[in-house]
Amino acid sequence: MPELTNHHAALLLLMTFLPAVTGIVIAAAVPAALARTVALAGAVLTFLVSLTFVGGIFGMPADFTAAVNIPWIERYNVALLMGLDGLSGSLVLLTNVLIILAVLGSWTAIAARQKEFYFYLLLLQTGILGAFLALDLLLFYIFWEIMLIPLYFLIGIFGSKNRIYATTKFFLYTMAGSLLMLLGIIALYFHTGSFALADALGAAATLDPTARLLIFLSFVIAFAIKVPLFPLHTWLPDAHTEAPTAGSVVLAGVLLKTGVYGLLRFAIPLFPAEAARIAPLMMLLAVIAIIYGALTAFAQRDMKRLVAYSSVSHMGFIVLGVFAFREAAITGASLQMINHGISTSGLFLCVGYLYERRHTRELAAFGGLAHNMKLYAVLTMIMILSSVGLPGLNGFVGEFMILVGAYPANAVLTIIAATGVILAACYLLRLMQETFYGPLDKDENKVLRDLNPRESFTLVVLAVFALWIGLYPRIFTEPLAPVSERIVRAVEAAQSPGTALADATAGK
Amino acid sequence: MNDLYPQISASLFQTLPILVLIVAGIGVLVADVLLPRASRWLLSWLSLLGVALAFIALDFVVGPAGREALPLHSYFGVLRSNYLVFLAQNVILAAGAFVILISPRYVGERRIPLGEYYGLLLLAVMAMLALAASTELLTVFLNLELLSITLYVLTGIENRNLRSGEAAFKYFLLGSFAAAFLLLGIAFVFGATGETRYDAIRQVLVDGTAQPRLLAIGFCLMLVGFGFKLSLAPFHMYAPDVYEGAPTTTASLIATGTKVAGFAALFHLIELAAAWSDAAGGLWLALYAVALASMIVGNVGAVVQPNIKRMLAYSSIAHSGYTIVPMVVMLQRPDLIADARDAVAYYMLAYTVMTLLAFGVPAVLGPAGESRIAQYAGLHRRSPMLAFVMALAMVSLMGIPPTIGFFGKFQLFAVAVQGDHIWLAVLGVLASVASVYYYLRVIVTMYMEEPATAGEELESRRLDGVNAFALTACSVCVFLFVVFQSLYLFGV
Repeated sequence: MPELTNHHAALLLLMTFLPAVTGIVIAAAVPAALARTVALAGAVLTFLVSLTFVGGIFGMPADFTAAVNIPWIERYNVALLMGLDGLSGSLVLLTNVLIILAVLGSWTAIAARQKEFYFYLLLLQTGILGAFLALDLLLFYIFWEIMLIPLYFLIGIFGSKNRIYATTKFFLYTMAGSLLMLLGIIALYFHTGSFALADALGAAATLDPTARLLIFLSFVIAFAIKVPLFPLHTWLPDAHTEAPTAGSVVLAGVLLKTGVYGLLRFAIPLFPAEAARIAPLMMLLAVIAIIYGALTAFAQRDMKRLVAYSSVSHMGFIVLGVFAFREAAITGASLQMINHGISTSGLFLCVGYLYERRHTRELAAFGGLAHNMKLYAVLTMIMILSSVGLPGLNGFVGEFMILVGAYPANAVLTIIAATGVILAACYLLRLMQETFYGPLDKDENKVLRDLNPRESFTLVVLAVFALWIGLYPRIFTEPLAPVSERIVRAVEAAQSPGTALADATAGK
Repeated sequence: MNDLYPQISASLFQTLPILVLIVAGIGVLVADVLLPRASRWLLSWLSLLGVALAFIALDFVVGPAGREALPLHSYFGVLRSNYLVFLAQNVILAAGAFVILISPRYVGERRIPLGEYYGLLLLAVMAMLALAASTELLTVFLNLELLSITLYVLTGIENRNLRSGEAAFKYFLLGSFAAAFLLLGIAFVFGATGETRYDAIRQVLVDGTAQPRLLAIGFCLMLVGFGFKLSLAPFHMYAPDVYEGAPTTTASLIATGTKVAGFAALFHLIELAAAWSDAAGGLWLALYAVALASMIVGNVGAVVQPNIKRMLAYSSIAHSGYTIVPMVVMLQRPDLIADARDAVAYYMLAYTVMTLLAFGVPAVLGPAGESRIAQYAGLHRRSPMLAFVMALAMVSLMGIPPTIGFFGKFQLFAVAVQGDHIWLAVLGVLASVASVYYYLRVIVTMYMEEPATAGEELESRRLDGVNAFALTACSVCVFLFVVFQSLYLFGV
């Protein structure tokens, strides 16, 4: 029997499945010329529904009581358990905003096979939303896998030249990780008797240490591939470079965050002791990713590849913050997920708009664009500065909190990581300089028109958020803080023997 | 003698579906002679009617054997019906109906003799139903042979096509070898226990009076015979050639119905062996090796196949490997027999649904669709529905949720994890990661590539209503049993 605790539950289900339903309607019944309009309407509607949650059920109880609880596969006790807290709620909102921008960003860029395009995009949205909302491990896995197929098609059909290689690589990498995670989930089920996160939290601590470590590793590898953490990152630059703009926006903006989210929601709370054990290694890998990603970004000639490697570097900061296990660092990492979603998506949109005009992404092909594309130059500048971490913009807040929080955990690594901020300035300002400054000497560039209102709208929205978070971050960190506090407490309790385990796992 | 009548009449009643199919098969053969040439098209509808009647007999007249109910025996324990058999028989009939639905145009274009084709098809389905229910050594052998012989003919029935004849000859030659192994194995098991009925053998095994060495050899030799029918590595060599050469409709029946029947029969055999305390040794190792080899050989072999039917043959080898994973587990852990049975039963359903789709598309596309995968380039433009159906089949075969393939695989590996066979599960999972590559290749070709030259292109064909119905029904099944788990299996 469906058991909807309140009208929020119905809205939650509506929001999750509305995009997929819109997508199916587009594929089945809408003429191609109207596809993008319907997709936009669906995305906006989804966003409006998600707005009703702000301040409402963000306060999911600490024991993960789900708002939606519908039995599904009774034999394995699988249920549609879904709920929101500050962390997942913020990411859900980010997703819904970015999908709208992705639709707007593809408005003219996607000319052929539009119905398919918006079908995949909206299906992807349902997969992502479901993954953020699921509180049942098997349900989470199902949504996690549903994300794969649409993105696979988005890159494979609408990508650029080397797209099939990139999309197959992406698929194989992710699938390998997630199937091992599936075995971990199954093993956990047979040890604890339930797929529900709330039940598993209490029971996971009673497993024998080897099983716990193996299951934990199966989770961490799957999530590390998605983040992606060095050395599992090689699929990302390829996927980003070949993906269409909307694909890159969603990929960088939210898809990578599902990996970090998985760590914060499932892997670490379920296995706090193991997480603490591997934390030094993870922080080391994160710092390698920061430096390596930054140096590689500096060497890129292709704008999109440059931004892609900057993503590897920035995601390193987030992982560093997560595994520092300090409240400030985890809150900073959670905020940085949103920041990265804003700035990197913005950069991909910028590159996409330029590509649409000029059909190349080679840095060498540009120069002096600030002379004839003034609005574009300003908005791109904001995105770049936000990504660099200029005080007053969002990136600074997140990185600062991560570094402050990580310093007590590991001073040496934090200091090395901090140089990553300087490196970010180097490669991103180089992007700025080579594109916009210098003489406007190429004839093809002289005729480029500035952004139209639709394009500027997408970037202005992101710029507003960048400023807002930069100037008044409290409103954004407030919902995140309780989640990080709970995680830190669970890890601390697991590290100090003698304290009641039950306290830690219940998060009380 | 009088007290035998009730049992015989009860047996006849319980095997009503099989009897219906025998009558229908012979009826089609007779009708082929009687009907004027112009109305031979009626034969396909006649055989569909036969399958439908058998279905009604199975589900509504005889009725399901309850999940927990005692197995029903008929003919003095030679055949039995239980939950697994009932499910297998339903799946086999559905597969038979699907093959009949996609046949008419295919058979017509190739000038395959209709009477023989449909008549033998019905007899093959009949043999499958009987094989799935067999629990006596000689009955297993007879039904397997009956099935094999009808399939040899169905494979070679396209007599204008040399490849069809070649495939039939290979199938026949290797199949006879396998049958000989099976018979030898049966002789050994009989020698070791002095019984042929499974329930009697079980008693001997439980008593511990069987001769262990003879028994081990017997079971292993029987495994060879079954391994051939189920195209398990290393007995799989014939499969790619036969699948490629046989008419696609026949191939789809060989890949689905035959395997379902074979799996049910093998399951009963392994269940029997699990009662033997020594089974966990040599026989277990053999089964483990076969499962592992099939998953690896199937998935690695499929990667390099340029031909769609050969690729599907290797894929079906791999899926046979997945399917016996629970049997490997239950041989060591008899307490998990019920879970293993449910997992195998569900996977038979899942595997049949997605494999029928994967074979249905080449069959509907006609000659060009049956050869190189490269010819599927740009299919999404010319036949969006066929491309979608094929993509769905591939996604389901990969085991991506929320398709039925995922839930099937999930249960198989869940049994392995539950039985502490973590490594088997890990290797199976890694093998299915490899499978992603070749399934994706079909999708890439259909959706992301355009034909290189004009000649490469498949002609676009209009789907006739019957084909469209069969493919749609099958596609719905890919999701149906997922959304309504309790409808079919989980809630029974």
